[in-house]
Amino acid sequence: MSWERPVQEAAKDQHCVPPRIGSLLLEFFVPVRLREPLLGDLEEEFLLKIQHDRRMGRAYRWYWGQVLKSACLFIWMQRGTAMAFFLSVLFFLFVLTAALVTAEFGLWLLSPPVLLALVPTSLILGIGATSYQAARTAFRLSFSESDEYSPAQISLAARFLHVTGNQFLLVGGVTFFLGVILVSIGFSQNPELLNGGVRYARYGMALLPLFYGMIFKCLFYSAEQKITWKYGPAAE
Amino acid sequence: MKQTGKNSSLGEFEHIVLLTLIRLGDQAYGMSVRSKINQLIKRDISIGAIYTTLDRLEDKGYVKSRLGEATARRGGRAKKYFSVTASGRRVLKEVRANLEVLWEGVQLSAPLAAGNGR
Repeated sequence: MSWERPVQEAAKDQHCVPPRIGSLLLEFFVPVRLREPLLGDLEEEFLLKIQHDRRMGRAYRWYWGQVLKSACLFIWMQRGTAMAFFLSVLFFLFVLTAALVTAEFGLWLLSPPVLLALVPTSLILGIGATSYQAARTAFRLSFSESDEYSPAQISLAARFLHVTGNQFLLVGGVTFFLGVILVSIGFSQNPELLNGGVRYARYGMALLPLFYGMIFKCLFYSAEQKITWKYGPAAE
Repeated sequence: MKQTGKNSSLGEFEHIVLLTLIRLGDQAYGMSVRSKINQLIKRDISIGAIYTTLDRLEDKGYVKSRLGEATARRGGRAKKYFSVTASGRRVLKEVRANLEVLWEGVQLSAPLAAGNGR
């Protein structure tokens, strides 16, 4: 069988390397855990094809065919992530625009309704990076106990909590910076507000989204630790 | 820990890959699985499809993997060997038993009876 041919024969063709651009394309789309074996297999078969019929063109065409088919497959698999990312950015921009249009410059962004921008955006990004099933498992295991999940499902649930917690921090940080910019713009348009303690109070309030983000990060971190400790490999 | 009901199903291609892994024994890795399937049933599957299926089967607990040697002809990249777990073998037996029950008495070449088998 072809993959059992001796290594020394392949060694003659070591100077033949697969198209670098094709490999880079696959590296970009293939998940990290599959990258090394998949690219290694492709390179091995590419060399074997050159050995078999000594036609470089055919081997290159075959390699590119594999690259394109596999890349399309991985892009299709990640469509959920891409869509979730797109939706969350859209939602975030919508809330920001609504804040700018309906309220005094920046002030709306600093009040508790900023949670509307923070929570759904972070949750959708977290689900996009893992899966809806992982989110359900994570919430279920955080509030109750269950032994009906496989180690892989538990690991994915813990990953959801980890990623979503980080998203809360990131989105909170971005909103904080936007808040500072908006408050500064607001002051430049209404210089009379610069008097007294209003300036410090508003800049202080700009910290709120970051503060909320940190609270959520703490909660998600605790839940992640609970799941990892209780159901992770060390617990078995 | 048991699998959830939803994850215990086995698709057609997953079925093919599991059987191929058993045939290949301890020499089962992405490329050998691809070649074996091509050799046995003449289906030219992309290496990406093989790995996504193996990855999914591993998530379901039907397959386990181990990293093998890295060689120069693979650009210094390690192989990933796959083998079927006890749970994978059990689900294969179940699928086979179900299919045998379903196929019993079915003759595809026979003309349709009047009334379409009513």
